[in-house]
Amino acid sequence: MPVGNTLTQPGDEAARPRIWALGGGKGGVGKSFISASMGVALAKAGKRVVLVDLDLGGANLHTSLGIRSSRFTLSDYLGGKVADINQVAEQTGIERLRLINGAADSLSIANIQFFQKAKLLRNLPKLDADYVILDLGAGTSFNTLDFFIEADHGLVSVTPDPGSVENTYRFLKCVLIRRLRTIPKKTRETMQQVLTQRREGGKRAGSLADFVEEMARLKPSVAGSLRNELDAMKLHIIVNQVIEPSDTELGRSMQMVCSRYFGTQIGYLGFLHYDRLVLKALQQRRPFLSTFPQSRLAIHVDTMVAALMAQDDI
Amino acid sequence: MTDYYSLLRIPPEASKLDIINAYRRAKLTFRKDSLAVYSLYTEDELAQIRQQVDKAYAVLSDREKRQAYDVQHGYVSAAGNEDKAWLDEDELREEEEEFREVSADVSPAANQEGASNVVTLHRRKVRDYDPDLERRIQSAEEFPGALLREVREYRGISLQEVADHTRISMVYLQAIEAEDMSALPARAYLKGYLGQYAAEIDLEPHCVVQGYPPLSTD
Repeated sequence: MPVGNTLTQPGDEAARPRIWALGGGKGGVGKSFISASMGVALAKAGKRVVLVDLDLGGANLHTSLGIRSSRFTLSDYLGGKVADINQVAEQTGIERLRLINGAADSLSIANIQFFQKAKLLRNLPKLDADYVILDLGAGTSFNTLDFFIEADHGLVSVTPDPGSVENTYRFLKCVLIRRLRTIPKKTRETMQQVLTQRREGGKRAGSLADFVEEMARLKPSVAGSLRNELDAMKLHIIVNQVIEPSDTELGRSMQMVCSRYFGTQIGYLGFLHYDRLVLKALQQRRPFLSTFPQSRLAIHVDTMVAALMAQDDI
Repeated sequence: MTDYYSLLRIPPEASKLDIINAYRRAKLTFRKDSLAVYSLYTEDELAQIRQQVDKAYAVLSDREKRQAYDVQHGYVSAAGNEDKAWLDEDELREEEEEFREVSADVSPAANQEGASNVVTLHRRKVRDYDPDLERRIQSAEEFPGALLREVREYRGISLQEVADHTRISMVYLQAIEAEDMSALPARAYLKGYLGQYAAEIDLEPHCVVQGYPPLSTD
């Protein structure tokens, strides 16, 4: 049974928080840093924000914010110790910014059950906030993908090195294919047929764009709903840890490649420079954005947040 | 057959300048050692894409061919094509000239497809330690083009590598080293380029900008 669009259901459109998810295939590309910074930037802009650390099993978003420990963690909510999700969202010391800490020394937290995932997906929109930012872990496990897919905006951080680029494409491919899972069963069967035919024809898997094109030839109606599903995803790339001026080209180039390879439009939100001050702020256990509010990085984060907010217009 | 406009990611009403910029980006994106396509395409596929991109540019950059293409693909009726945003010819020529640099940087890779995977070790030939030059760098107040060139060669960095890293046109870099005023850009740009160039060859950018003779003449 698909969990299906629980986060973005119609209804209380005005009241529910907008949800942004940060994902990406590789560790160390700045997901937690960007999540924390965007949270601070939104709070600074007067929005009520809840950061949720969903890097289950490797949670350290609290460290990016300079928080050592908290009273409750996500597992208290998932385990039923705390009934209201709002109660586990604790103050961070920054006005309007709260955090749901994911750090818990339990073996089971890294492998949450299906019903726990469904419970979270159902209840995240009930958080009392304007924006909810999900900091997801590296990798392409279903738990990670499903939170990413259900968010209003999916942000992917990529650094200018081949490993990161490779994992980003892998992640996007998984996201798009997982997204297609929610389409009607009949459509899915037709897809399977086409895929099997392709395989028997001895063709290599090829790009997603090729596949959709072939579907359009064989079953125009199915291809239509495939395209709708893919176009409904709001995906954005952020190029992080830029050093050389030429690195800034990576975002636009990846956009071009995505539209060709995946046949879907992906936004390019901007780039962030490599900055030694980030490490310094972490070592001092202080959030970067409130420690160095006038830095080039902080200004870029503000700009990205403003651009995304403009797309949500609430 | 991919549509030329969607291949270059531009709308059918794109101006000629848009087309040039999109072509430049496409060539950079799909070049052989491009980071942005890592893990997705084989070299043959990349070569094919580059060919398509070239073909698309050949058609879209030619007024008559583009008109014919638009009509054939239903982007415009055979009659009214005059509202396409064509640029002033002079402005355009300038752009195209600068652009030729970029495509020149890119095309050699397309030509020598063979010896690709061989890693060239010791490509940087650093000259032996030269105490005299080191001393001159330390005490230099003036940084004429000839000295810059000497330092660059001493560090074992080719001008092409500087161009690749900074994205400054080879024409400007050569002009900087030759102090060729006629080919150098306006002061403000020159200062910026000079700073970037200096950083590439491990010199203090502001010292070089201050000590570059053509900048201190007036």
